[in-house]
Amino acid sequence: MLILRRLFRVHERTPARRRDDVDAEIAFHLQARIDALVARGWSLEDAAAEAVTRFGDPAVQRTVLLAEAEQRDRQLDTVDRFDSVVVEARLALRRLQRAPLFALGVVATLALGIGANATMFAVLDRLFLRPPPHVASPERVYTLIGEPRHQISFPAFMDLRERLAPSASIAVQTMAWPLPIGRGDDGQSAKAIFVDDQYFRLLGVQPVVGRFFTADDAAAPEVVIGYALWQRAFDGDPAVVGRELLVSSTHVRIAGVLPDGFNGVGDHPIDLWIPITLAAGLLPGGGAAWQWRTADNAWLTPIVRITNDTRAQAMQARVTSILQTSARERATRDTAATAELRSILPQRAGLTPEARIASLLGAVSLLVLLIACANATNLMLARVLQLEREIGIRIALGISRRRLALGLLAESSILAALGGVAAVVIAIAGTAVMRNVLLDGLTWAGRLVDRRTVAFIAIASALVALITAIAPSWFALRRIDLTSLVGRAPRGDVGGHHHMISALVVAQAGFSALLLIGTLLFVQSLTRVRDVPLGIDAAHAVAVTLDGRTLRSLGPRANELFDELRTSVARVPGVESVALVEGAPFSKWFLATGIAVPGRASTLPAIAQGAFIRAVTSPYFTTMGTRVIQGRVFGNSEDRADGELVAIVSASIARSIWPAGDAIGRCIRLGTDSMPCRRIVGVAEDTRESVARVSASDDPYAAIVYVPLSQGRHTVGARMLVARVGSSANATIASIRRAVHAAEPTIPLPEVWLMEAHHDPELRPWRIGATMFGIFGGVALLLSALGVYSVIGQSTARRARELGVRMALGARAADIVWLVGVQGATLVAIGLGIATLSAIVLAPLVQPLLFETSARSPVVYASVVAVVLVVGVTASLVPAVRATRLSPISVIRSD
Amino acid sequence: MAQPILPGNLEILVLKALAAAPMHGYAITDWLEQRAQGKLALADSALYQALYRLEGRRLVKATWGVTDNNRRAKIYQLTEKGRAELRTESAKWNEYAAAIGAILSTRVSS
Repeated sequence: MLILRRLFRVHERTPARRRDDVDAEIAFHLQARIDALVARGWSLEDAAAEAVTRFGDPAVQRTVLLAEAEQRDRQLDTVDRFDSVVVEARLALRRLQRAPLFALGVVATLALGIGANATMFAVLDRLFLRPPPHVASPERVYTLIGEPRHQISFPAFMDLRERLAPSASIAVQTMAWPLPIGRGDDGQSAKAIFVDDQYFRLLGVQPVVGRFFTADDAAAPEVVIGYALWQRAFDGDPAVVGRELLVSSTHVRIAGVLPDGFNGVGDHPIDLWIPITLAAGLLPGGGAAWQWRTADNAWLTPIVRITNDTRAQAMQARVTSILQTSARERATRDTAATAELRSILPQRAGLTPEARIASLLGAVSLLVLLIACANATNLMLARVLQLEREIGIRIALGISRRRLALGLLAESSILAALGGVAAVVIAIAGTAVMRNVLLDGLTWAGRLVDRRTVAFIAIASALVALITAIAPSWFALRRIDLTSLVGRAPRGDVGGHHHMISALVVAQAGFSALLLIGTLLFVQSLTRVRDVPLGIDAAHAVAVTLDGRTLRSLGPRANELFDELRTSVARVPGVESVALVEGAPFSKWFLATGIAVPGRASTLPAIAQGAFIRAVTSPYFTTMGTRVIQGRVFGNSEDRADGELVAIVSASIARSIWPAGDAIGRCIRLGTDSMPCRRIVGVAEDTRESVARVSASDDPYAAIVYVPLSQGRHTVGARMLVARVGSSANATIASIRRAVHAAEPTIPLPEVWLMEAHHDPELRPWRIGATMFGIFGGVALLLSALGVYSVIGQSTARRARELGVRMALGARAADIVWLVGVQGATLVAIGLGIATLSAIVLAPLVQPLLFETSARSPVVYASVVAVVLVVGVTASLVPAVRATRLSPISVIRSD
Repeated sequence: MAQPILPGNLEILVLKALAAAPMHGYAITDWLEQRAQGKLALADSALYQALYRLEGRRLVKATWGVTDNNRRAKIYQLTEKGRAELRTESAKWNEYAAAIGAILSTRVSS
């Protein structure tokens, strides 16, 4: 009762009220004193004088008392405000306990919306908002990207280092290579990059154990290992420093270990940092003869740290001019090259495809949250209507409307808070999914749902609480008045409320249609991308590659080794055929060659541009799944080293050099005019390794000349074994690995991989888009269906009397269903119209992310419209059918 | 000669008065004066200041009511909190007075 009394007390502590109170109290006091004195026999005059004496000068005392009263009121107001919050929260909690289904519905809705956003926040936060870990002052560090060649040569780098000082310091790194470490059963593959001795100092990173290598380590080679490799291969043993490690076939010592999460300036994990002076010996294509220091060999990416007072723009111009001068001095072809300094901060560098998709998904998750808010608002509005009488009573008792709004806010806050807690759980699950689907291969130190994500959830929940409270409060304050107490006739005609709810349904239907359109666009892109013919059956082609240094060290024995490998792999169950190839697709090797054709001008683009050699043994074409569309494949007997020189050309070469289709039997020379003639015996379909280069006629990589391995150049370093495997590729790959190790236990573990694995990451953006849009779109559609269902349900309940009267007057069930169903369908249709228009307007935003799919595809739009319409109408038919079961008599009587 | 009442002490007396029954300001003055038997000097306006302070602390609460002779008067009433305050404060007072009294009643040879 105390609560009720307090709740319904009228607080009006205005200054005017205070003055009246104090004046009245003083007057009463004086009068009471006078009365008492008079009763004791005083004269009225004396009594009045005495009363004033005892009280003090009324004018003065009035001022004193007013000041005291003002302070009192201020004190009371503060406490009241706190009390009313507590009281309203307690009342709200009690109201929610009475309506557990409603509470559960809103909490689940909000949890989905907030959870989806928290997931995307966690991911976007990692992708955009965090600099590479352990790099000191990362805002001043840039990578140097050249144009047209992205990398620069070693001499150019040395020129830069010399001429940039002191306004910038510079270090260098290469791209990451997988290198075998250890041997036999202990062997594994590690991602390695080569860096110079300034690299670590420039980045400002400190080792967790040991030290970094220095410039004078050349005699005793040392490497630095990453934290993950340290944990994986050495169980985090600090005594690893000084230990010997076998990289490829070179023995090196471990100098130190880098901190957890450090990946240099990128976000892909790196295991091994090797002095660049060792690159020639370790790189697969290297070798003692490899001229890594020459000005022609552009293979380095410089990292630049500029000093405090230097501007990146100015530095970029300077770097460009130094590089051009250097090129002129050294007579290389980069005299017109330009340089770009790209910040290592993800938010300042350009967007990767993953980042672009993630931002799009961020926007999408915001849409889902809006739908969730709309739904929650909707449910809360419906409740306000149910609570109309209770609210009316409170208004009649003089409760302020501000207080009423506070009550509704308390309710939405409790719901949003519960939703936020559930959202944390959803975000943990969601980020786990995202880690696998979207960000596989990126490094994540620590948990994705961290303090920042939880803070985000808290803020989002608070905003949601506010947003969902606005409409119901507005309605409660404006629309409900004392007439709610006496009931109104006809009941249920609550115009403002109805319009608001209708608008929400329209918005929901629209949003979910937008998301579904996105889903279908990505699904279509994914299908189209998968349908791109590669000319290679990448799902069944397995490559077995050996470490380049091992191959070179074998010398002439390499042929023997490959023959042994071929025999042992061919025996593995599940392997259908085996072939050897130099310059295989999806490998790092492009064996380029010039070509010459008698009777054709050397200026013909297809000839001027040259081709790539693929030296193969039989049965290469069936193993790779590449069709020979004209002529024959190579045979073992006729295409020997001492046989006639032959070649098979790719369709792209045949088409551009012999447009008449008569390539077979023609002569092609590899190299210059002086080389011997090779007779073309077949034409193979075009192959491509990247869907990015879709149109084969523009693709320089599609110009391929196949030659028998026996007649080739014998580039042993580029040789590998390919095998065609049956359906269970992964199991077969494991067997191949075991078989190779058993046959050749002394060589470093070869890499065995499905060619699809190199093609697959390319499909990732579309797969992510299709998956994530699908999930969000599904959630949105479900929420919207619930929204339509509840709105039509409420509206039917309100119209129960009207419908009862209609039925009493002879309306059939079908009429009632029509009446109610049309209402829902109309709202959904309006939403769909708006969604379609928005999709057309937004199309340019999504277009770059799609593959051979128009963002304004009429088929997609039409299917979505159909699906949403069907779902919407179904959702409104359920309450419609229920309405027909009403008994007209009882409904009319109830009024 | 009547002793003036220190402001802090007045408040506990007001609480005591209201413990007997809800009453208006003048009735409290009257109640206190009867019991002080002229030994304590009570400034009327100080009483109201004390009442306002007590109200601010929610030890008493006030409502406008009607007196026996049909006049509108502000009636003060002890709250639960006020009652508790009265208990602890009077206990403190008694302890304090007893301690002072004990010291003052010791004989000192001079």
